[in-house]
Amino acid sequence: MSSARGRQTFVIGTTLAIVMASIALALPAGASMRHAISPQLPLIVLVSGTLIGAWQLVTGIIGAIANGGVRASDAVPLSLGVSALFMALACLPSDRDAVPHLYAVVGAAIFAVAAAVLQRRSGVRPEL
Amino acid sequence: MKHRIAVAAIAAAALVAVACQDQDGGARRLATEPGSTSPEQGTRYVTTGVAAVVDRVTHRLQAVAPSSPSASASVVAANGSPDAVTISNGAPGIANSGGQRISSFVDASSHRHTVSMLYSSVGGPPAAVQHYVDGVLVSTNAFSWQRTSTGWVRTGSLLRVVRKGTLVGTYTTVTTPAPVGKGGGSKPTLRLQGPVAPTALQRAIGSAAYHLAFVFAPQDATAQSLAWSACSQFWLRYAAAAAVVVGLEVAMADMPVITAFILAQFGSALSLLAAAEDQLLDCVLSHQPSSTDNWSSGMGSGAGSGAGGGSDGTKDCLQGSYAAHCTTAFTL
Repeated sequence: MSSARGRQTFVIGTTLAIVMASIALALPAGASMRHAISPQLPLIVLVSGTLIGAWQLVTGIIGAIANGGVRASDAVPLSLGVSALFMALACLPSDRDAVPHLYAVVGAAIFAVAAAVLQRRSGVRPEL
Repeated sequence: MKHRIAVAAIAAAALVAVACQDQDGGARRLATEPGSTSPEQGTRYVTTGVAAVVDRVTHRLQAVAPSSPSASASVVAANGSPDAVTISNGAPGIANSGGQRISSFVDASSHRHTVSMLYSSVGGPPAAVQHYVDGVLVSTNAFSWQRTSTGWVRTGSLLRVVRKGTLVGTYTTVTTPAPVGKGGGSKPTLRLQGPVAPTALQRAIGSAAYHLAFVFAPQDATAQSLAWSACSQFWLRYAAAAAVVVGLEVAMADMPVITAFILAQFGSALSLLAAAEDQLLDCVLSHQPSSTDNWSSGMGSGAGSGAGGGSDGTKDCLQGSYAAHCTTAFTL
């Protein structure tokens, strides 16, 4: 399997799995599971997002300092870290709104897409 | 391409200018708040209101002056704006058939407000509205509407204020058309702040700005809790969360090595997506208008097997009744 085909298979397979799982949760049969897991989801995002965001940020900063500047390969973990922190921020409880905050989610999306772009521009390709 | 951008900018500027001009007030405005004139040219309305509270000794309604200290706060508050209400065709909250629509929101004091709008079998604006705070009924409001060429005019309303299942006060309004040039005698006249003579172009642009305002900039709580915009925020969150997942997915596909941390971040993004989907589904399900059958079954055993909104069992609900069979579905 070539690397390009492997990447394509990975993206398509993951996307299909997410779509199927999302549809399953939306069906009446999945309502009980949805209600069972929904209270824990913000906590998972808050804890793991903070930890991973901090880890990615520190990794990126260390790489930038070690290389004497921010390269594309260093910017990827920085973008991923900011994205993870935005995800955690989106799930912080507030007095007015108990749902994920829109602006924080949008920020997470922007930095996740930026990370994908930087990763592609870095020129390093996987060997799947 | 540049021409298209220029035309689009000019059109947007024109719409914004008209919308801003509408905010100045006056009878020509097309705001999302209730107005005091009908959409038809030259028609003025006079609304009179009567407030009453239940006497604690005799348990009978007694009319009170709006400023009477014996009147409850809710009744007095309702008396402060005796304007006529006009609703245009296509406005949010208009139904095509009978049923009910439920909206809810949490206020700054963390109290959950639920508004249930009950529609008669012919549709149109809601025939009755029930207001619950933290699952407890606090008021019902029944309306009567008159169809006009461009929408509806509220001809009467009956607000019942309820505390612990007991009626404590009412506020009744009656709206009647007044001939142009006559103020309606001693009755309180409404805001009339300019001639009602928009041109066809002004009306067309104003109508477009009016509907855009409903979609993009709802100006009151009613507008924010109705129509598709009720779940638009949840939908945007869901779309943004999906973008996070896709971004991470593409980044992972290009990474030479997929570490445990990036997998964990991907799992967090999936959790965020699931949380956003959960909120979106809850919002959509709570705003789905009930069908005729659901209406009958949803209004308790008293609904019987009649058609939605018109059966004997639910007719009193459409008239603002706070009886158990009208409210049980929301208070359990």
